[in-house]
Order: sequence, then structure tokens, then C-alpha cells
Amino acid sequence: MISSRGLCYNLFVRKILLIAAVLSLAVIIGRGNAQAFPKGEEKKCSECHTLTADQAQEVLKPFAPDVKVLYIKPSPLIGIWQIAIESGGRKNIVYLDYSKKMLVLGNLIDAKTKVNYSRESFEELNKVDVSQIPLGNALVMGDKEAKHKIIVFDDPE
Amino acid sequence: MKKVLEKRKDIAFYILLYPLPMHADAARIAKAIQCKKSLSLLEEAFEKKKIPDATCETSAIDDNIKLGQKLGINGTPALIFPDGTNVAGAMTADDIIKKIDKK
Repeated sequence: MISSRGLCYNLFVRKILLIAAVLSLAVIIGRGNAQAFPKGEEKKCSECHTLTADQAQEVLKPFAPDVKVLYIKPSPLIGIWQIAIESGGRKNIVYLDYSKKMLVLGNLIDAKTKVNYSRESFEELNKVDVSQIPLGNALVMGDKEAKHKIIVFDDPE
Repeated sequence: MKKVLEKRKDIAFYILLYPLPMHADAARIAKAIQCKKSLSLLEEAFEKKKIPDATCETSAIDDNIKLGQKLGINGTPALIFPDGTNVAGAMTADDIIKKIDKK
């Protein structure tokens, strides 16, 4: 069921995520001079820390009892794992630190290039099979035979 | 969308009308536009002009809603790119073109 509340909630969550991202960036920048992770340390870190799907599930269960772990991989931010989860039919990205005590919900953004790694991973995770979308009902804007077809769900009001 | 089409002839938009429940009149308008399959009527709707009632019976809008729910679309506009990525919310013309060219 779609609801306006859902949309508002989404926006709200996004706002929180943005704030979280800014805060995390502040932490990274703050650490820049302290050399918390000297060159070459990253490899060692992810080698001596492990996280299994079961362990991740245990940590996440209190938040979503039906949570399923889809994959775990090192994140671009050193010291945390990137975990893809599915709960309530929705797929999402969360992060967990190596101590398995701190959960991070937010966006990792490359401060230089502005690439939003979290968003990219989220979109990748939520990819749909375009060939399964029937387009018989679609109104076509532009050349019907164009090389690139973008499907748009749009409200006319 | 128009800006993208002005710049690029190799891109087309396939628009599926997807009335949100929070817009009371959207379903009626969507049905009317669907009947005529008319882009100009859609534009008039965006301009908040009055849209006459549907001139046909069609299940197309209900089909779109079912499809959108299956895909987890809960806001508009939602863009689905050729590679299957699903972007919620409006994008600028440049961002759309950038995303297409990235592939």
C-alpha cells in the first residue's frame, strides 16, 4: 500500500541520513591528522576482523526480526562493514563497525568527488529487471525507437 | 524531461501514469489521459488545467499501480534506467544524461 505517510517518512529518514553523513564526515576529517589508520593498515584491519551473516543477523534482529543478510563486504570507510539487508520486502544498506557494537545508518559520501557510495549501493541492490516491465500502457515522449529508454512513473496531479 | 530530449535524440521517456493516493483527483485524471494516450493532456494536467472525465474504460492505471507497488515505488517521479536502477525523486537533465552515459 502506498501512502503519503510513507513518502513523508522516506523524506524524514533521508534528512536524518544526511545529518548522519555530515557527522561521519566530520569524524573522518577530524582524524585526518591523527593517522588513525596509517598507510597499509587497512588491509590488516579487514583481515583480522571477520563478520559472518549469522553474526550480522544477530545484531540487526532487535531492529527487524525478519531481517535477512544479503551480503557483507568491506565499506569504503575503513573500520566498518557494509551489509545489504532485506526486511519487510525492502532492501537496504547498513554499516556495522569491526567491534560489532556500532551500527551506522547513513550515507557515505566521498568528500572530494561527492560520489554517494551508499546511494550507489542502494540503487544497485534495488535494481529491477527492465524487460519484465510491460510498456504497452506507456505514453512515449521522444523517439519511440530511441537507444536509451527511461521508464518514468509519474503522477499527473 | 523536455530538456533531456532537446539535448539528446537517442533518449526516450516511457511514462507510466501512477496516481498517488494522496492526490484525490489523480486517478481520474490519469484515466482520462490514458484513454486519449495524449502527452498534451498530461502537460495540461501538470499545468493544473481542468481535465475532462475519461472517455473510455481502462484497467491500465490499475495495472500501473500494481506494477509500481511490486517494484516498491512509493513516490513520484520515479525513474527506471535501462540498467534497472531505480531513482526516486526528480533529477536534473544533466544528471539524467550523465547517468545514461555512465553505462
